[in-house]
Amino acid sequence: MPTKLQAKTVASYSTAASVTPAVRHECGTLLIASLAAATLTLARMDSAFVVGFLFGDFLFFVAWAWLIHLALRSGRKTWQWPGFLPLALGMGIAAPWLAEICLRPFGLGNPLELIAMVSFQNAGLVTAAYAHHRRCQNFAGILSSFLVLFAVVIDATSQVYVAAGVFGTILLWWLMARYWERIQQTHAASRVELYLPVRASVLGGVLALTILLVIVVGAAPSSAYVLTGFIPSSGGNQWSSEFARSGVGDGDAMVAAKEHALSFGPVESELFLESKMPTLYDMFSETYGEPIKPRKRTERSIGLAPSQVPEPEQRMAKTQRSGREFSILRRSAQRRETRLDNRDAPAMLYVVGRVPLHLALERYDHFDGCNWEHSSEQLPSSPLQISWEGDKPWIEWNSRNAQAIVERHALKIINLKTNRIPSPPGLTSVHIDKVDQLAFFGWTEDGSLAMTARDFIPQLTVVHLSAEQSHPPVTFQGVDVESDPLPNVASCLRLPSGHESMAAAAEDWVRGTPRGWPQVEAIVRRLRADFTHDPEANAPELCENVVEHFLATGRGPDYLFATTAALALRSQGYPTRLVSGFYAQPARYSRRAGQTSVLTEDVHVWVEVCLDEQTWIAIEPTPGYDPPRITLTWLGRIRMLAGDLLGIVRSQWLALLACTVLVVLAWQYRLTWCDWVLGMVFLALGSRSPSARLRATLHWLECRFWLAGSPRPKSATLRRWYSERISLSRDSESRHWNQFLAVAERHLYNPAEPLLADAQQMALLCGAVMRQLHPQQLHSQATVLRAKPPCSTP
Amino acid sequence: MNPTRPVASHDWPPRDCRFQKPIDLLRAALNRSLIGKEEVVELVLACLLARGHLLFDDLPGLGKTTLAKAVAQAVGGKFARIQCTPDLLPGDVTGFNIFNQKTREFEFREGPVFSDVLLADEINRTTPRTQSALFEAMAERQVTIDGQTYPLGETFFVIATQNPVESHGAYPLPEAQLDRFAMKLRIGYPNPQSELSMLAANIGTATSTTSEAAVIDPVQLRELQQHVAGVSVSPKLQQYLIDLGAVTRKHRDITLGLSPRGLLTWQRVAQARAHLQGRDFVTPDDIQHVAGPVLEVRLAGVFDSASQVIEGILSAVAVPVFESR
Repeated sequence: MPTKLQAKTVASYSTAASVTPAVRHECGTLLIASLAAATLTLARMDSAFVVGFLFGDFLFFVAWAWLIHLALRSGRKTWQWPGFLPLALGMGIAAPWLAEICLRPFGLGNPLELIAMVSFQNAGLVTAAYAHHRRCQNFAGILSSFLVLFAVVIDATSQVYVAAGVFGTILLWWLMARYWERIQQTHAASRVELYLPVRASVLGGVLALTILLVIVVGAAPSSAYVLTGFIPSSGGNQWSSEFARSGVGDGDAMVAAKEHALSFGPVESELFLESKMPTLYDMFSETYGEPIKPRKRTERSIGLAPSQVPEPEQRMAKTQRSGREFSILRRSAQRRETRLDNRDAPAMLYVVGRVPLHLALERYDHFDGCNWEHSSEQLPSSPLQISWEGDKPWIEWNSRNAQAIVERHALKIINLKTNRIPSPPGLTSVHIDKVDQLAFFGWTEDGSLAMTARDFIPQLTVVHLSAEQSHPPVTFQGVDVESDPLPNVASCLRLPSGHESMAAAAEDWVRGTPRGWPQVEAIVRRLRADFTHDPEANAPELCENVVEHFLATGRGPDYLFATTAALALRSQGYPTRLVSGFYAQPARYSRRAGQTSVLTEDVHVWVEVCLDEQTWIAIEPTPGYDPPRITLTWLGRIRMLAGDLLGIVRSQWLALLACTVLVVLAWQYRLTWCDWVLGMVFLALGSRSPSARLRATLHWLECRFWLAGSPRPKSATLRRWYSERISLSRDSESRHWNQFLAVAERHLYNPAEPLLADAQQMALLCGAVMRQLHPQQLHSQATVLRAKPPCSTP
Repeated sequence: MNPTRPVASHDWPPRDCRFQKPIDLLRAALNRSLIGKEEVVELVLACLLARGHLLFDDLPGLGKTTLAKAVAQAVGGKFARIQCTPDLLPGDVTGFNIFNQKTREFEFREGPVFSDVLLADEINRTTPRTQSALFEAMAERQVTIDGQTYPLGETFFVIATQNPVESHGAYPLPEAQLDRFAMKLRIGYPNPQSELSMLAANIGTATSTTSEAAVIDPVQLRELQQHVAGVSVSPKLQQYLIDLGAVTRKHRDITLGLSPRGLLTWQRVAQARAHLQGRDFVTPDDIQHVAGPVLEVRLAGVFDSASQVIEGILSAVAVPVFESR
């Protein structure tokens, strides 16, 4: 109501001639709002799922606010619509909540308090875009300061402090500028604006909020009941959110302990706790089914008296296999129906670090057609040594390659009953806190690192692993089957009899592929593409040749993929061995705990290919499992890219040369051919009505000048814009142009019906104008006119 | 006409000679008075044909009064001049009733507004009371004295001048008064070549004033004005004008946007400009061409350079080209 409005005198903008102080203050307000948003974004990095998404989100909203600001400054009437501020404000506040609703089903949620802060951030940015209203300016300043305060409280990292420092500095400048502006206003009052009374509006707002709280809280039994869900991180009420940043929650069973083993989870302490755990073979049986044991055959024979049995002259040798075997002939596993139940720690182990990850536990090099087992041949094992990183002992064996990318993981052993250390591909060193005795570690016969001094790794131990990602060298050629292979990997090349058709298939798969790693990739690619992973598709019990059966049916569990890949590669002269272990799936990653659970059903079988006697590279032939990642250094990437490019250039040089010439010519004569195409289009439209022809000609002119890099501004009239171009043309052309413009204006702006003579004249002039102005001429005109100051209004 | 070749530019589009000749005569007469200012003369003619009033805002000695007198002489009407001073009274402008001792009756003595061309020199020197005496005369072409309304001439045309630099003792014209002017013009210094011609023409001239014969009479002027009022304006150009007017009302640097009266004036001046160009329809060029003088007189705001603001206004609205009629 007008009577309740107070009149206040405020200073007016000085001039529009240059960047005025008012405009500077508006930009300053938007700058501090943007800085506050940046500070909050840095603080949110801690709990972000995808950092790129977070920064994209930040850039989007900041750019949006700046665009609104620029649009408002442009003075366009669309943006001056009074309802736009509440609309933009509402959108800014609602957008994070709507995005949250869409993202939560994908597990990409955010803590509620951060969503609320993003709403505040957007409100601050939008109001800062409207900083020419004094109230909006104040509101944006207060919101920005609050956001930065919040960011500093929730995240005490150095980058947040730096951002907050920058914000504080600019805020100080902004406040000083506003102070001086107010002082100037007292002398330069020239405009009167109406404002709501401040005191009454604040008091009214507080009163309304209090009444609302009294109604809401007073109607409920307790305030805690009302606030359930608003403070999800607090815990204590059987309610927890997986998207919460932290809390003292009692909801989740496993909470990563920090200091002591007995607190909640695996820690690096000297306490080793032990309990009943399943062995690796129990897990294989549970996942893949029991191996089919051959029935004992009893043949009819004649009993002899003990005296008739000859005593052996010497003690008979006894096979002492170094490990257990892995049969590829198995019964189907009895899948138990899983029920929702409380499980204290369902995982075999937890992986901290990048997933997916292959964790090898056991390797098999000898295959007899049905079973994989360790051969008696001892692989060369590197001597172990200890190196110290600070006070952390690392057990190393290979000299590190300075060029390779080192990747580190931590394993929290929970229920794994083995003394073998789960090893990612390219493992180079291991660290267990306070275990600095080499005697604890050793090599198994199949070349796996193990805590040989113990029966199994103690429960709740944290094992740190450092692995180098190796990439097959270009020189890798495998082993020549004809020549004598390396003695140490001879067992990794042996093919059991009866697999000739498989070898023929492998030969077919690699046909046309150069020898070396491309052939390995070709076989893996073929298996992943043409065969189906089906854990239930075991070979029948009496199957003589499981691999042949797999090739025939085209489906099977992962160990059949691995076996087939290993044998196919062996048939082509690439030493391979079968590896069993775990596959840490990204789907089991828990963002809250920052780790990936590895469960019983994550046992997996894959293959390693030997590069040299000590370097093995893991490959993944089973579809549905990500291949082990090979990250190249920048130098490696450049080399690989250069090699690939060089290969393409060598093979396709003629086509590339022709394409380059064509592209250069197309670019050089782009005006000519674009103009030609446009002309053809307008000619194809045919001789229509004079009006349509005139419009087509005008459109064509606009297109041509746009192509020439000199498009007509929307606010420039036809006469003014084209007159500048006419002045550069020859006299005869100028005459036609003037006539054309006169007729065009008459047709476009004269409400009277066009005369017949006009129509005839127009058709002739359109033709004359279209024949004039060659593309190069247009281009040169555009260049000349660009050098001149822009076309100004009269 | 040969249908296979475009006609020459000088006879296309055809012009209406009936109205073209008096305009050429007027133009020539004014250009003789004010050398080297063809653009200003065109705008003065547009203002005259649009039945608007003109405000000259420029430094002393640039030819404001000369041009005003030349207009009065050229149209052949009655010319009157008021030298505005602080002690000028409204009655001195409009006229007053005087008691005739012989007839024992009041007689009306006409003031300077009862003329065809009125020059109000240094209008900002007189008091607002006297300035407002011109309101009714300018807007409605009539004056009311002692309850009696006296109509003014159909071709009544006010040329006011003001000096922008001497603000001491001046009374700036209020917005209501400014809105009654059709346009504000600045003559500016002539270029050196024009100054040379002016000096050469002054040799041998003994008197400071030149008296030229009228080139048209008020009846002809009235016909011209009638004809200008009939110049076509397409609906899309009227929409263009409305859009421009809306921009002035929402512009952040303008406190008082274009009034509906201002919009009507703008259209009429654009019609006049189209007529001066030999057309019977208005184009966007006409609207943009007269935008500066028309808007400058009536846009109140906080800006140093009105031309930049007006340029911004024109840039904010797209010129209608391909829109349907």
